[in-house]
Parts: sequence; C-alpha cells; structure tokens
Amino acid sequence: MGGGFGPGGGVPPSGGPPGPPTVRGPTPWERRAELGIVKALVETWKDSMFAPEAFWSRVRPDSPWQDSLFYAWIVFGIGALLQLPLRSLQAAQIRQLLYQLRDSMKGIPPQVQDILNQYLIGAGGVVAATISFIISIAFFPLALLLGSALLHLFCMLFGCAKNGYWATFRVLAYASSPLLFYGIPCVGVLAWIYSIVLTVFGLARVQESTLGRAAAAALALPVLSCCCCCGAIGLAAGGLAQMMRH
Amino acid sequence: MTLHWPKPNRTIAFFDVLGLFGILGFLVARFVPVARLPFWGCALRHATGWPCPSCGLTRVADRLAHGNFSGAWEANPLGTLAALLLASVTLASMLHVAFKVPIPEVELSKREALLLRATIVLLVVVNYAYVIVKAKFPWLL
Repeated sequence: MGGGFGPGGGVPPSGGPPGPPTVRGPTPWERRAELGIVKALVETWKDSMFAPEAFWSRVRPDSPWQDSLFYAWIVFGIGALLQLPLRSLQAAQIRQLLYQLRDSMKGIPPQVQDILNQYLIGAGGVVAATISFIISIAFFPLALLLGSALLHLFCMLFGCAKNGYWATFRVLAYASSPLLFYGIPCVGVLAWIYSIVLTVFGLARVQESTLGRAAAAALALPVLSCCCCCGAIGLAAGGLAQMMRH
Repeated sequence: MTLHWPKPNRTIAFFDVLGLFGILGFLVARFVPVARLPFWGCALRHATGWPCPSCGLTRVADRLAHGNFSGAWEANPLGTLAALLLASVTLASMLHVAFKVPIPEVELSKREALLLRATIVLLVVVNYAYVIVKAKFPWLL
C-alpha cells in the first residue's frame, strides 16, 4: 500500500508539467546544517513561495519526512504567533457571538453544553488566545499527517501517487509556506488558496504526474468540503445575522 | 496484479496513517455527539431537500461505532463499506505496529488500476442513486 493503484499513476506527463529538467537534491532547509537554520528557513520559504516551479523540481520524493515536517511546523508556528495579538483583539467580539450562538442552541446534550460553558468562561481573554495558540501548535503535526493521508487517497484515485505517501506528505509540508499569513484577516484566505496552488505544482513535480491529475487530487477535498460545509457555514452565518438583528 | 510481502517490520507507512485516522474517527464517532451539534448536517439537503452523495456518513460513523451495522447500512451503504474497510486497515495497522506483521504491497497493472478507478466511480454513482431514491422516492424501494 505504498504507492498508488499501480504504475498507471506515474505515467510520464504528456501534457505537462512544463519547465526545467528535474535535478533532484536537498532543499535549503535540508541543508540547514551547512547554511544555518535561519538562512535555510528563509531560503526555503522564498523559493517555495516565489519560484515554486524550480523549487518543486529540486525536491526529492525520498528525503526524510521529518525535515519537511519541522519546516512546516516552524512556518505554522510563526503564523500562529503573528495571529496571537489579532486573536486577542477580536476575542471580545468572538465571545459575544459565541454567547448568542449558545443561547440559540436547543436540544444540545448537557455534556456538550457544560463544555461550551466552561469554554465561554475563559474565552475572550489573552489566556484563552494563548491556550488556543498552544493547542494549534501541538496538534499541527497530527493535522498534517492526516491531511496528507486524505490528499494521498485522492492522489491514488487520480493516478498521481507514484512516489508514495511520504512524497505527498513532503509536498503538503513545503506547500504550507503561505500559512505564515493565515491568521491575517482576508490575506489568510489568499494564503490558503496559494497553498493549494503550490500543492498542485508540488504534486505534479514530486509525484511525477501531470498538472491535471495533480489539480484534480488537490482540489477534490476542498471542493467536497466546500459543498458540504460552506452551505452549513452560510446557514450558521445567516442564523447569527438573524440573531444579531433582534 | 502483483503482491509483495515485505519482511516483518514496524516501518510507519501510509497504511499506518490511515490506521491512526481510523482510531481517531472511531473515538470521535463513539464519544462526541457530532450529529446533535447545531448547524451540523447536509446544507444541500437542508436548502433543497435533495441529499448530497455523502449524506448519511455521520450516521454511518455514529451507528458503526455503537455496533449498529444494519442502521449504518441503511444510512449509506457505500459509506458503511468504506468505514468497515477503514476499520480493517486500522486493525491491520495495529498488528503491524505492535507485532511487526508485514503489510502486503499491492501493485496493479495500468489496466487493472483503470478498472479499479472505474469501479469506484460506478459504486459512488450507484450509491448516490440509492441515497436519492431513499430520500425522495422511498416508495420505490
């Protein structure tokens, strides 16, 4: 269960991806012992953000996955740190909305109600924002692991899983470079979109597939999530807007 | 189709990550009343009355985690099969990590891979047809 459904997944691209010939080697982050951590981090971030075609052509599908995990973890951590003051500033508004949401909940189990009440007592302060920061940092590796597993399932389905799961993991980890800005209002959405774009390029290059297959695999989950969740979020937002009017 | 049996090992692979997914999914389905949370549910069904292809998956997870197999099958047959497949992957992964049981590597030819993908797509379509009939035209069943 390592690669895909078979060699069909790794057929040399006929229609793409175009670009320079593939010369694999360690990324700057994987050469951090030689470059120094800060320089390696900055160079990897710059390359993955502004020269993705050249960057992905260099990424080896079989280098240690831990390296890419640490890179993504650091980038996400810096992003979360940038978000911390913003989250503290917005906390009072968020608490008010949560109280209104709680009051609108009918038939919710008492245990869930208790948990929500306990959360609301602490919500809206710097302490709550800090706790949420720590939790998001602690669970990031797990989220990356599970997210890449889901992505890899779609890669197998669309035939771009030639180099196995850890190559997909590496792509998702390095494609998280834009997440540095995820906590900034409005820019965060663009960062998320750009992260998907980087994932498409990364999958095409690192899994040695076509851009079409990579795009199908990378977009399948966001599209399905949007179909199922956006409506629900819309309904929730509508409900909240209705409540705030009264 | 070729099947490779590696030597006994504990190397963490895709299979084990899916196993982790299965364990977490089971814990959530068993102990968190997800379906009773406000605003949870299918937005498409809520707005139009028509189900989406994944309608019933929350009920499948909830019912399977509580041992209600027939209830899960009734909610979404393909979802039930997928959840049972995930459960077996989880079990195999636990054996792999705990006792070094090797996980076979399956390699399909190009034709077999294509056939498998076509079967998956066909199953999704048939399952969706069943979900629609069950929700909108139950007298046909």
